[in-house]
Amino acid sequence: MNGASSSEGGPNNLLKESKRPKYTKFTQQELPACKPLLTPGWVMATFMVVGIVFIPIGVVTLLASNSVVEIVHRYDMDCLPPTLATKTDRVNWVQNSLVDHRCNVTLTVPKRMKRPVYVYYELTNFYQNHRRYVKSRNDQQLRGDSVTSLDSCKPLATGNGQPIVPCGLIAWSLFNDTFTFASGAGAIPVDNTGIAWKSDVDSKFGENVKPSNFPNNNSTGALGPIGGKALNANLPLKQDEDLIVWMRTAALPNFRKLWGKITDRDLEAGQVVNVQIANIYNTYSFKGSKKLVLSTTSWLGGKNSFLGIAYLTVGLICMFLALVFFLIHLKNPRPLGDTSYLSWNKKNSDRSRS
Amino acid sequence: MAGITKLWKRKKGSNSGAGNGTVVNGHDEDSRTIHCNRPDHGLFSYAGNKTSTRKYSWWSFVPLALFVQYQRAAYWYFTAMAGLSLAPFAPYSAISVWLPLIFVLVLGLLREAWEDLRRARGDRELNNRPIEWHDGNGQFVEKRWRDLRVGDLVRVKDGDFFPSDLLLVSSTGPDGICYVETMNLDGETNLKARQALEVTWGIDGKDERKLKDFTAELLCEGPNASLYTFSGRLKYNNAELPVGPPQLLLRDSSLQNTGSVLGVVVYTGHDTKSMQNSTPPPTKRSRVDKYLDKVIWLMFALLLAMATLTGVIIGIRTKQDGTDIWYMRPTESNPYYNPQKAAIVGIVGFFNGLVLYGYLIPIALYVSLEVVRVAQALFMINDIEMYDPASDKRARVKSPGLNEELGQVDTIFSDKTGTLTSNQMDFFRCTIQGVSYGKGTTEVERAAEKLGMPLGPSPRDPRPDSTRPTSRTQSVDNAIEVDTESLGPENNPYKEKGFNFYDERLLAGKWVQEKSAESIRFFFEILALCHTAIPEGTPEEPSLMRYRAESPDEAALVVAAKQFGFYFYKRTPTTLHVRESLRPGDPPRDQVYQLLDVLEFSSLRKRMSITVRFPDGRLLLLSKGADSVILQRVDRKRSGPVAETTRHLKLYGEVGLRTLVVAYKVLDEEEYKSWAKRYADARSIIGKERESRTEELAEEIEQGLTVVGGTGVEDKLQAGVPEAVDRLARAGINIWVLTGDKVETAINIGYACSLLRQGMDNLIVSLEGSEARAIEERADREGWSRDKIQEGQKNFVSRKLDDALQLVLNGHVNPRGTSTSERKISVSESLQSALSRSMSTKSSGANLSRNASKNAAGTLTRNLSVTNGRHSRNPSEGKIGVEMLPLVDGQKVGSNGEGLDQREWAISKESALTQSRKGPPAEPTEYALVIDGQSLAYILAETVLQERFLEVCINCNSVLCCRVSPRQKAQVTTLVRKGLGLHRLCLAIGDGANDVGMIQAANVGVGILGVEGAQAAMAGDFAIGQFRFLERLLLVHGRWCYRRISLMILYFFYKVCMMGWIAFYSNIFAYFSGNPLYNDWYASFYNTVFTSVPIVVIGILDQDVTPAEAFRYPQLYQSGQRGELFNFKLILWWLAISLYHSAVIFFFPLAIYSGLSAFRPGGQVAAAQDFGAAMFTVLVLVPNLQIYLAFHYFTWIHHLFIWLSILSWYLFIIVYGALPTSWSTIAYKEFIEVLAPSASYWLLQPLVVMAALLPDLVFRSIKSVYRPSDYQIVIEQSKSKRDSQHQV
Repeated sequence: MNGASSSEGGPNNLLKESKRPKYTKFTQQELPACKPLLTPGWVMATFMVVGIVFIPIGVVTLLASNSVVEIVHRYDMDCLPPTLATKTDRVNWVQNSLVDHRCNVTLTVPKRMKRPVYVYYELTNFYQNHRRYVKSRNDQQLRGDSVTSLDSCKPLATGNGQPIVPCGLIAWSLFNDTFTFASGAGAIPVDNTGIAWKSDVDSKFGENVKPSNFPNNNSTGALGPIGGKALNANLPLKQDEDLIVWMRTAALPNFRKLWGKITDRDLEAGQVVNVQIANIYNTYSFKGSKKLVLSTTSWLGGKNSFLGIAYLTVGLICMFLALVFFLIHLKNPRPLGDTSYLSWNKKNSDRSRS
Repeated sequence: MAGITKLWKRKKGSNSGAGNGTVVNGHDEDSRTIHCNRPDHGLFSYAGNKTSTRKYSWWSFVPLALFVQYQRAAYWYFTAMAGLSLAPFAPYSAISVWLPLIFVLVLGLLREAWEDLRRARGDRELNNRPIEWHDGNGQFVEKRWRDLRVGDLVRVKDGDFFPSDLLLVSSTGPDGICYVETMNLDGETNLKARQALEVTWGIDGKDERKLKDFTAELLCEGPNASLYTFSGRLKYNNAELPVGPPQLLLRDSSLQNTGSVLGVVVYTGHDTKSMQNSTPPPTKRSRVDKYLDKVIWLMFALLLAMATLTGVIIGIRTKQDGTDIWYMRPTESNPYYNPQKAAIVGIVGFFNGLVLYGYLIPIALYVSLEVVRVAQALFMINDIEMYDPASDKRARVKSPGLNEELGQVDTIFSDKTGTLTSNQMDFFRCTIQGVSYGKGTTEVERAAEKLGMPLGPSPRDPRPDSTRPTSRTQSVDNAIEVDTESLGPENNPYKEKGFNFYDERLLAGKWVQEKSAESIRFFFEILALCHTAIPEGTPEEPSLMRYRAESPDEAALVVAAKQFGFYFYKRTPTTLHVRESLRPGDPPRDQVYQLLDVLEFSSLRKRMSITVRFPDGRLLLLSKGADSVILQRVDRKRSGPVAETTRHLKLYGEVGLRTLVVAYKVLDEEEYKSWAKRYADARSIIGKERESRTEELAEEIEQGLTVVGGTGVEDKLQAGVPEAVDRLARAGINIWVLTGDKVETAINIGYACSLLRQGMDNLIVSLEGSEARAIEERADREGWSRDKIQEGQKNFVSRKLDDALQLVLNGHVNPRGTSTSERKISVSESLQSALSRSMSTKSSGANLSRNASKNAAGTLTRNLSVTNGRHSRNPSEGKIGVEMLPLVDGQKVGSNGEGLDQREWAISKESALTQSRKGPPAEPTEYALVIDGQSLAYILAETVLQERFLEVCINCNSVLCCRVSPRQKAQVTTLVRKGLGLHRLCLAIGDGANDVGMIQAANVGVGILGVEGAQAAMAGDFAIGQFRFLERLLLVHGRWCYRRISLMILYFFYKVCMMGWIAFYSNIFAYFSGNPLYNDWYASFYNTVFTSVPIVVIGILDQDVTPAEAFRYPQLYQSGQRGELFNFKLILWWLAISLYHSAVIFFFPLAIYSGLSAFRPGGQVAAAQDFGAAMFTVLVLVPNLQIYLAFHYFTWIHHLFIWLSILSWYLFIIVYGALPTSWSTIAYKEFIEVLAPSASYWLLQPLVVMAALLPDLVFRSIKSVYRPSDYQIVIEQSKSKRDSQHQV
């Protein structure tokens, strides 16, 4: 080789460094590699293992979900005078601050509910995830940083030339039904602190930010129809956990929000809980519904059998597949690396057969 | 020639526009006047000699290069999207859309800039080359090329390139002759003579006064692209003389074998003929790339549909719900929710949707493709297996965008000389006085042997069976044999360029011991004298001596003479100097031979002679030439060993050697004197008569010759060519050889490099055959007009094509034809028996009698006995022969048998089309088409014929086009590529400038990095050092690249579409208002960080089978030709997978994070951001883990990047979540506080992954177990082999 290059290229070539590429496993693309193939053995083993792992997980999670006790009660229709048949009537009624909106609801505890018992309200058909709605807030303002523009909050950015705090649709439409729990004679206190995420409380809402110029629901005039809850101008936003929970908007139009916790007692099976509800939040105009939910939790969370069922289903399918592959393989095995399966050989043999 | 001229006459195109203003008078200039030696220097504003091949100038770079970038449809889309992202309603921040776009554009611009700078560097080098320029005062000073002006007088030295087109004024060579090499212009390596006008011979560099006073006026045509025409008049000394091509020295050619020449600059810079010929390289895009465009359009349509749906739904719902949704404050106008202006809401929703689902069209794919292709190119460049140690050159990749094209090639168009053959002739055998000398096997023999088809009896004298199987040529002389046992043809100490002869009877002075030593000596003397070669080098160093000859075979003969002890070292116009060393020990003797006349070689004469007076006073005519020509002219009484020589030469020819007969004649002094006088007179005739007259006189003296012997020179195939060709053919690639050679030579080489194989039927369409000649003869007789002759020839070609078509399609010829369809397989062992015992096959043999076939010989012959002795292969080797034997008496096959055979033919045709070309011997007949340029010209001129031609070709395994011009090469390539509905992916490979057209016309052009001339390599998209590397380039790199790019694109669509689908799903639940579930940065990082690297790694590294396996099973390549890895079905499949995966990824987390039940013991329900982050986790997991399912090759790099990618998501969400809320917004502490502490988050992940991958896993399992793909079987095989080795 060298002889050829020197005799042909002349002496110059000897001086030049050879351009021969360096050998490394990488540059020559000879890195050791595994080439997994789905051979029958592997296929069966894979399905088998998945089945064996998934089925117990499914059972355990299903049990966890089943251990949760949950009471769901829809009250928006119960708490409506039955005479109100049309949407307009209902809306007028619910928005009329002069009418008494209180109503009483009794809940019976089906099974023992160990504390803490979580109290939720559930809204349906409420698009907290509508883009228009989601954007209508100002995080800087909420944090108490200096605010450059409240454009995103329009039309609830300013009132009477002053910025509205907290501005925007979300805060303005805060859920404002209230629930008072009692059992027998004694009231059941509901703790509404500690229901928001600590990070939200700590970092997203300012200590010194207090509601100001806020269009409370009884205000009329330029700011139009009634909104949600009136905010206490003396309560810093940081301490208004209802607002904080509300402002962490939901992913879907049907959602629950944590309203409070019953932490001082367990609810016994068969116990009757009386709830006085102030039904003032308007869900009637957009065909939404309102529910009151009491629930315990397991190590996994609330009542949700999805994980368990899904695990079981996938696990069982895998076991089944393992079996099917096993049976087919018994009946009709393909020898590995049989060159007669090569497409070009196959066509030949097909032809010769025919 | 005419063809070439036409080729170069192509429009100059945009070339001139790209130049930086150097083209002044343009191409409309009809004629120009040049004041020789009185340069105009701006007076006439002719173009300067500065040339530029740059595409851009500094000011036009940005707009033009951007324009180039924007030829990709997707880029317009991305820009539009980026524009939309600036709008206030955009769901994502503008920067997350603009950054990738700017990145891609800048990358593209940088590449363009780099290439242009490289071109500029080349230009600068060229423009700054020095040239000796006459300063007008008799002195030569050095100047730069770029400073030359029209009219300048310059001096060019031996070996230098001409700086511009020059008018030859004088030469240091005799009679104003100089030699030029035009390799870069037309690919021809032989030297061409140019001669100055006699009147200017005297102006040379020595005489200052003459130089100073030289002045002349040249009136000539304006700049044009025709390389072979030039006309003008030179006014000199009050005389007006015509000048033409012989006086023109073209830029890009070089001066050879001439001390120096003086020339006047005629055309400069971009006006030169070579520059006028240069065409801007076409921009090529790969098939996959174009398909990708279509997919992009499809995705765009999908996107539009989805966005429209979004707009319509949100518009209608907003209208319907009206003021009901009080919390949106419907009374306040806002384009997102305004029941009064629902149409606007709809339109905004539409645009919003466009951006939101815009993931469907991945800009990151383009970035990744660029990166991957460059990496793939680097692998090719750094492949040791494609490094050519002989020229010290690596492979080069100029168009990485065409990488994957290499894996899909259907047809290869190959040049012959310099590509298949190395254009190096080696002296290999000779026969002297009826004794054949020379050992070793030729490439043709070796190739035949390798393919199991030994070439009958060896061409050497009959000898006892050899004991050493490697060398079948054993000397009878055992004594010598013992001495030189370690030496032999394979280990030949005398081997050098041009000499690959081994026979101990002749070498090292041993020839003197031979019986006919005197004849041998004479033979060597003739070799040393009878040629026109010019020695180059110092006489004292024979080993470094180079001979410049008209053709390499002539040089080989002179080298041979040198090796035998007759060292030709000096030539003067009248003497030849030879240093003779007769015996090893003797001091060499210098002999001077008087050279009297040279009767030059021409393709018409096929011989050359010299008259020479030997030192001992003998007056001789020495001749060498083609056997047919020389043998006609031998003296009947003193013919020499004619019979043996003929026999030997025939055998030489059979093994692929080029043969010449060497003869002489003793001249009678008186006779010679009279002849010499007449000859000198004839030579001094000016005008046309001169040629015919000298011809006659040569004919007169070249009579009565005595044969001394003959030579066999091997036109060496490049190393590994037959194997490469064979494997490429087995890979299902049709190989076409386009060559300027004769039909016979081409067929020879065809066999040598296994393009033509035994058992193949050769369909020959040639206007040089006997039948075609009959047309001409008839035309002559009947005085046909030119048109009529052409008509007749066209009909002939058309008929031939018809017959060929019938044959390849139906396996029989229509019975009308005079043409035969005989498939003659000769079983004979010698030429004679081969001719007499040709036999018919079962296919068509029964149709026609043997006699008919003979009558029609030379027409369409499915005939293995066309070439010189090729037929004498023994067909009892292999099954074909066995099959044939019972059919020797073809006529006996009854009609029943015939019918049966035809059915088999039909089947075999189908299989020939669809599958491997070479398989078990039972394979059906393969066809090879051999066609000549003249026939091609007729075919190319008419669409109907083109169609027919294509159809024939597609059914043939090999096609040989002979005698084709460069222009035809390009035309044929284009024809096949565009192919009238039969689209094929064409690759053209060549080494010379004459291949440039073809290389540019093909889908992929590959240039051979020749020792000289880099035009083809420059024009090619890839360049390799040797033809055989093509095999690795295609079967290994090409297949890998195609696989990698295909997998990558499919996977890319899969993963980006998931983002799109998920955006759509979430929109369904969000009133179609288009609120993204996640932060912009999640989305931006998805394509750039979380899922980008593993697929790039796969695009760079993925392999299915190893190179060794790819070579063992070339058929694997066919999956690329069939486009099996990237097609509509696969795209749909991957889209379906992405739909399913995205559904699982979206809805499974939704079931837990719906916000209805607590997802953790703390009682909290999920908000949008919690759902978003949890879903995003599995959105990162699933595609990354899908890799383990969808791909089958994992190195540690794969594992590393897959897991790093997954990890990067967790890292990202932790780090990003730890930033202040003003940065992290909804991601703030999401992972640490919300997700990580909940069990459901962790339980969700394996569930989603498994549920998502399950159907795919099942499907792949079934496929892999019961419908294994080819590569899988190959891997399994090598795996089980390895396992069994382990066990042993």
